[in-house]
Amino acid sequence: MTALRKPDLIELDDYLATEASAPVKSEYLAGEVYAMAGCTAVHNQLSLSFAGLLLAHLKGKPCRTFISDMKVKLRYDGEDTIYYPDVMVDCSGLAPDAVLATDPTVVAEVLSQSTERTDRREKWFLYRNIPALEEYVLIDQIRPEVTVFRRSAHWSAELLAVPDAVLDIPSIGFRCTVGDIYAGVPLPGEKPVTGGRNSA
Amino acid sequence: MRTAHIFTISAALFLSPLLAPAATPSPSPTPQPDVWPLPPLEYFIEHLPAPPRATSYRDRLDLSDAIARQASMTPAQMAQAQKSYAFNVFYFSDIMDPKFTAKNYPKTAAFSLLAGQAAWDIVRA
Repeated sequence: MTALRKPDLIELDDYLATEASAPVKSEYLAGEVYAMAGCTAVHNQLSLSFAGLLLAHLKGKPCRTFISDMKVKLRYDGEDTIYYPDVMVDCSGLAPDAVLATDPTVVAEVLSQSTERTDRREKWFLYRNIPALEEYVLIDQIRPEVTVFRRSAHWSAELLAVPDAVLDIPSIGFRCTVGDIYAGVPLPGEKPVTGGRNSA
Repeated sequence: MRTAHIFTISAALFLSPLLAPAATPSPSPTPQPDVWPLPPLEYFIEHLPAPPRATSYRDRLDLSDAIARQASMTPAQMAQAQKSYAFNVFYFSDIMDPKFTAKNYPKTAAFSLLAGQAAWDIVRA
């Protein structure tokens, strides 16, 4: 017997077909579609900064870095969800024409006022159900602060709140300081943070 | 969520006299509700968003998230959560002074109790 979906819910295939040409990106959660708000300059800069560090580190290695336009698909409790992580590392060998990933090793989200609750609760819960995922990283855009959740630590939080604190992502052999991520990125109401290894 | 309301409002009520200009004369020893500097309603709507629709997938995720967090809490985290739930101004004795207790500061304790009760009245209103 096949369960009937509510008529106002959208099938995953229909969402994916529409999303391919949609002018505004949307995330998909169990048949419901949520349009994504545009991001701020600092959000964009932090995503790019962290992705750049990962990109440089992973050059010549099998894992690859993706940024904000690449979807990740996950399934929990019989429902499909599609998110657009701000930064993602995939080591599963995605095809060049792939439109979504299902087995990312690292996912990072830059926190904003409108998404922080979702990033800290809903996504923290759903991402950890991806078997391949080893680290989930949250990057604050108000202050130089990074939180990392690791599978190896049962997804408990490690807070890195000073520029010299080291973000360690052992699944891909990556290390950087908090200052590296925030180097040259002016935060709201603050002077640019310097002091990272790459800021000299 | 209700505990968060109480925490926020209690802190605002307790700290508001400290933030007032020192030269401002106090017309009455008891603060009146109409002069409490509470933010407008829009502030709470923005910072305390509506919960997900009951029985929706998001609602189930929210509950699953809470259960997962409880399951992974350490005894120290659990003790801290219990302490936060029973919030009053002496919560800050850890960083202010171990002697900052209700027994040593009975007038502060009475004021804190009054502020907490007022906060509950606002939440229930």
